[in-house]
Amino acid sequence: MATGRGAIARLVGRRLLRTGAVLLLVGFGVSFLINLTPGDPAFALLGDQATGEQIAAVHQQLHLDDPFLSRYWSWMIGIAHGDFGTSYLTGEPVLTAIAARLPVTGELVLLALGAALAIAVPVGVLTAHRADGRVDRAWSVASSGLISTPPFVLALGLVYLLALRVGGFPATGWVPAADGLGANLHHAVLPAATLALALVPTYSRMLRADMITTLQEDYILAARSRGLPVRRILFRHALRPSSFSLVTLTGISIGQLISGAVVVEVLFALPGVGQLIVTSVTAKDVPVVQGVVMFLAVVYCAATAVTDVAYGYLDPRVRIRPA
Amino acid sequence: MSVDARRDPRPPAPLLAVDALTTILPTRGGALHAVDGVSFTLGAGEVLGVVGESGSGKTMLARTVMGLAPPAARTSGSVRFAGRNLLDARPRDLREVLGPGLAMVFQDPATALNPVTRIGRQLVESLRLRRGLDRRAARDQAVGLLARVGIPDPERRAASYPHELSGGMRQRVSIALAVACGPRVLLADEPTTALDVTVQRQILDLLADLQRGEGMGMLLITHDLAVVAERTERLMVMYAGQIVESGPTPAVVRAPRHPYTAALLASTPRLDRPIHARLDTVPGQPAIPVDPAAGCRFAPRCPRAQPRCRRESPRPTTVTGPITLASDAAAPTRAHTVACFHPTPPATPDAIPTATLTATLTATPGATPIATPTATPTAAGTPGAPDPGGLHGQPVRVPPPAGRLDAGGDAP
Ligand SMILES: Nc1ncnc2c1ncn2[C@@H]1O[C@H](COP(=O)(O)OP(=O)(O)O)[C@@H](O)[C@H]1O
Ligand code: SF4
Ligand SMILES: [Mg+2]
Repeated sequence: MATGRGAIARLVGRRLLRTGAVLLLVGFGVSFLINLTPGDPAFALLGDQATGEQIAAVHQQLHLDDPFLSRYWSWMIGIAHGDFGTSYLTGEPVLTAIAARLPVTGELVLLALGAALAIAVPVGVLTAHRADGRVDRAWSVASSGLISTPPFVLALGLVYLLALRVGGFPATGWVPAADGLGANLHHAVLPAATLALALVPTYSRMLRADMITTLQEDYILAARSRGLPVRRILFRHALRPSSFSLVTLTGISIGQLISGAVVVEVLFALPGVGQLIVTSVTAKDVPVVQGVVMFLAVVYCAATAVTDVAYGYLDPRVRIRPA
Repeated sequence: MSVDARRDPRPPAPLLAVDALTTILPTRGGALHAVDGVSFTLGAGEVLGVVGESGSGKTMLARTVMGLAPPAARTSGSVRFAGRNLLDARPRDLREVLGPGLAMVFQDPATALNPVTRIGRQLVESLRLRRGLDRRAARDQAVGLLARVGIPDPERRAASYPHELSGGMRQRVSIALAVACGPRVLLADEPTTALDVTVQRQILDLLADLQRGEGMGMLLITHDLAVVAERTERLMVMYAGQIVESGPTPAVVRAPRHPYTAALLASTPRLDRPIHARLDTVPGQPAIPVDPAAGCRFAPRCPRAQPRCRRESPRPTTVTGPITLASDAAAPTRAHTVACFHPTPPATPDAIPTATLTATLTATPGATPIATPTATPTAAGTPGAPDPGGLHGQPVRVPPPAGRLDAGGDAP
């Protein structure tokens, strides 16, 4: 298919500009907010017994007494050169710290997303197909319950059910995939399920609503008039044109997943990015907090970009054409 | 497709026999009898017209025949096709019939095609799943079908999405999809209503061409009396879910007996006086009453109504000349029948002054004015615009000589 090169270049350019603006804003916001919080990183570093001299030395070394804007500026300059700074606490480069924890969080988020869609799509399609049927009404009640349950309650419920009652699933800890995929997945089940369960109700309801509208369309009736099997009509004809809102929601819920990951990683004692955020905020490890937040902003922008590309795939009418 | 069926002037057994078909839709206001006791037969190679104003139940009739009435609908009567009553067939058996047995063309080609799937793929899907062709054969067949329905450059067009085609082209694709499995009966539900006037004739020519070529039975549904007058051998006039008059097209058009048919013909504009007189339903006022009481449905609008018309429901009766015979619901469908206690005398519609008739319709006591004797602003303001609601349409014309269809005429 012919696609306008120039149009694409312009679109990508506009997108990059917008992403840059978002990152600038996020960077400023997080720096400003952490600047407002009480506490001195020097104490976290040196402990309560530190002398005034030691503290002054640390302050000078870390430029802690420089004005906020000047610190923000030099941080930004560093980022522009690919330098996210180093942790006050460990002296480890921030990017290395993130990279070490990313596999855990990445795996959790992707597993949860995959599981949520794998459950929500068939449930959404079937509840729309038999709207107001018994399954639909039962699911409506169950999903209301799930939506109104906070993630940590969900997590505790799952731990009780799968780790204590059924047994077999570890309630805490993590095994890297390199040490055996089986053990890795075994440890990932509970936290990923916690994250997924929070998404399934909204996903399935969104899809159900759009699907009900689609199933009223003439082209569905026309497909039936050609004697096509019901399952094919549902999944091949109706699902794709019904999935725009679900795709948008999936893109947006990356944010929800990340904040969920923070809670889940703390609850299940997982060495992920969420855990890193919590420890660094507590210790006022400013470069790490700033770096992680910037990193998550980039992930979020990337997810939005993927969503937009997905639209073009789903609906040929929104594809760019040469003018 | 049997060629002999075409040669045979009177096929012995009809392909499709619909008897006392009724479709009741539950609505907030009550039970809506969208299709009410409709009976007809259709033979191979035959074209039967259904004419009625918007909301008279034509689409619901076609959907019910196809087994595609809304899930909430209650249906009764029978739809016999290939020796089986489709109305109580299992879904699996019904699906077997849809495609190679019965097929349907929908009113609006803008909505009847899947917007996110290339048209070639939509055709290939039907050919593979319903005719068991392999991928390559299905592709060749799909391109062949597109060529058959007059799509120029079908190879390339197969990769188009519906929104890349003009309305006329889309309707051609819909028709290709409908005839892909070689149906024996085609239900064409207002196939030209949504199209530009210039394209309408081409689509009707295409349908006629396919129908004759394949010896299909065709139900041609329209709100345009001019179309059925020109294109059908027999016609049924539908009013509020019921067939009020039916018979050989020339007989009904030349000598309409039901007051509604007469009014329809009278409101069809004449060539010498291009005024768009409309006889239409008032917006928000359903043409089909809910929880209908006994009595003639047309009584509130009928200039010939008598007290009896409001008490009893007239049954279809065979008419021969000015006298009606005894009530005979099982009359052969080829006969001219009318459901009316006081049919219009068999005079030419020209003998009835149009102004008087429409004025009478408007002045009927107790009825909302439903006939607009003067030109309506919308109709007058957009000459030539397709008007799905109106009953006027084009002037009645004599059938044109069978010409070749101009394939490129409505290219975008
Ligand atoms: N899905 C539906 N549910 C309920 N009522 C319907 C539905 N479709 C059509 N109707 C009603 O049935 C009647 C007949 O409609 P329809 O068959 O579409 O008429 P036509 O095709 O002659 O314009 C109308 O009163 C319409 O409002
Ligand atoms: S039965 Fe009566 S009301 Fe009905 S069409 Fe005939 S004359 Fe009019
Ligand atoms: Mg209709």
